[in-house]
Amino acid sequence: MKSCARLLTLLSGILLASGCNSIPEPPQVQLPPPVVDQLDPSAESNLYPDPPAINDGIRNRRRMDLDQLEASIATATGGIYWGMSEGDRKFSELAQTLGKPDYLDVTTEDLSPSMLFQKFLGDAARDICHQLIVRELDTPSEDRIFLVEASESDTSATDSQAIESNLRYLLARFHSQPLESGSDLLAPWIWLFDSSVHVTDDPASAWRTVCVGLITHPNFYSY
Amino acid sequence: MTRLKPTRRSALLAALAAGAGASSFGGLSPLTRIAHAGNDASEPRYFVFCYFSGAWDILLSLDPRNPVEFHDGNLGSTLIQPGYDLLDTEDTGHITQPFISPNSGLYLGPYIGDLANHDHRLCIVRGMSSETLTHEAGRRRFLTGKSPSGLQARGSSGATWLASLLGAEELIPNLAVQVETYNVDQPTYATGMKVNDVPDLMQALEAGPSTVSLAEEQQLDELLRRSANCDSSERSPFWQTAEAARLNSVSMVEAELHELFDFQGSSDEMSAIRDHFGIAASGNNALQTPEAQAAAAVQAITAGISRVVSIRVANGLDTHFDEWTTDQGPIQERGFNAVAKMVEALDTPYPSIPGKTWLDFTTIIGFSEFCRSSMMNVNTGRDHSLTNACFLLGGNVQGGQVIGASSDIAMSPTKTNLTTGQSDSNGEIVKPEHILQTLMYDAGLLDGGDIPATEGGLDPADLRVAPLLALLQS
Repeated sequence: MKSCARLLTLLSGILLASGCNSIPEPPQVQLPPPVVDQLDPSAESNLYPDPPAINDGIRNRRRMDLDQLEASIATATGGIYWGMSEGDRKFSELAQTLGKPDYLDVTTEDLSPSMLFQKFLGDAARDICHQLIVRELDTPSEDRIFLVEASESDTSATDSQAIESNLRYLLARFHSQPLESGSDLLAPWIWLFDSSVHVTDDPASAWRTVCVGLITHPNFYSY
Repeated sequence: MTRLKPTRRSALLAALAAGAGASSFGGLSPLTRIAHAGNDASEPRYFVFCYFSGAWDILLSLDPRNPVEFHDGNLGSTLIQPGYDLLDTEDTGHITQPFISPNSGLYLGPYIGDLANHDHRLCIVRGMSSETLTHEAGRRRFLTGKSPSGLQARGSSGATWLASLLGAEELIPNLAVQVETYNVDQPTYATGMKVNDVPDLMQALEAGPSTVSLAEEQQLDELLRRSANCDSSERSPFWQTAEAARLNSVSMVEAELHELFDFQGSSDEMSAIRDHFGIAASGNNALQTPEAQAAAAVQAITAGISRVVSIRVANGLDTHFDEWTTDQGPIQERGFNAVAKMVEALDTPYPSIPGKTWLDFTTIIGFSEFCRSSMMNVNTGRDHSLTNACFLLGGNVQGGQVIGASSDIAMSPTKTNLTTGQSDSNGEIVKPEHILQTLMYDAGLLDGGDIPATEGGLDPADLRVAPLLALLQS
């Protein structure tokens, strides 16, 4: 019985091998290449998809989700959050309106930089930066996290180097954007600080404005 | 408000109440008039989508059955169990039987609420199919007219398409309160502004507290504007979208529109709105109700802020257990009553076209993800059904009619002739996309073309169905 089975296995192996060898080669049919001009012109077919939006050399940015944003603000400002002075966590209160999933009705977070997001980010930045500057002014200079390279009385007129150094520090802290001294990218921020000093005559107020600019800038809330 | 047995007197009182409500809205406040300026098209179109969340039991409202014909004795052959005798109405004295509506003779369920008073404008579409038993999929199917990929919505919301066509001039063309909204291929301005409730809407429209001076605000604006104009930012679609949204948010706040939604404010206008919609004068919860959302929709439309508003007028309809006997009817009815209040508030003169009312140009669409099963389950509740229904009224909708029918066995979807609205074995099963396509057709988005999309006609939203022409007056 055993030898019979072995014989069957051997025979089927031979059959398979010979069968594979005996199958004739299929005829080679030359198909035309799949290009538009060989299709029915009335069909208006388009084999080529629309090219992606022009974004030369620019990585597609993505907005932080609400938790990331709140954590980033707290990290950059040394623990301050929106509504802290009133004991509210405003981002939590507005979570559903800002598209945070509740995992009942909504399971994915809306990460568009929508009109509502911009509005509430602006509100948050103004509240947080006010708290931050008030705290900075009450903190010894060596323990500060915002006015590190410049004091609250420095201006570009009195110490332009300190202003530039502090702005470079802040851009690295808030935007992860380390800049060389004299970089062109510092110019808008120096302009903002100087303009604000010009209209308020108060460098501390100008730093608050710079803080708002840093948080509401896409370099802060997107990556 | 519960629905008691309708009488001629109650109908008259309801009409008087409607008139009183209407007069409250007839005199537009200066703020309202300012916001409305510029809206001067001869055939303007506005839309309000009203979502009944959780899957409604249409036997209690839009698609009832006569309990004399459908009863426990023939349950095995009809597979329809109206269950009206199981409704717990001991405390309320509410009617439990279907009735014929007073003006148009529509056969309506006991919890249709005050919407029955507007039956001459009401069009009910029955025998629809949602083709799903999953809440998210059904909801997103109705919002977009496309079957989702899994639970992921595909395509833009119908509301977004309509706002894209109509709302370029409005400050918030597409407002969504507690309703999802999608935009994948339409301009940014048409993206729905989604808020969770009326207080959040007010907060979004109101300038937040700030110690930054006006001059500094202008400097900040300049910095962000210039940043968006850099070469690298101009090549970033994200950055450009973000900047457009920021500028819109600034315009929105500058318009000081929050006062329009301050329903607990002390002005006469707010007092009239509170009285009409039944909104409490204090307490934050009062602003999270269907009534407050309905009032917000009317304000957004009549103030010229929005072309399309989506609101959620009912929550908690997913009654699989015996809460069906106590909750399903009243929750639905509250939603229908809110819609009725909205109808009355919109039935006031349209400012720039004599003889016309806001309602003549505003189409209200009521929908749910699907309906509940025709048979009760062992827990005295109802489970999910593929069948659905919806209602429309106002605008160019032909009122006082029922389109299509669910079958008399198990209330299944049946085919409908899209032109006559009658049941027709050669017709099509009406789905959410038929409704959205009809709205787009009516709004002119199909460029007046009456060639069905299925035969090569215009179909910008790729809904692949013809409009349900029986819905429209002309």
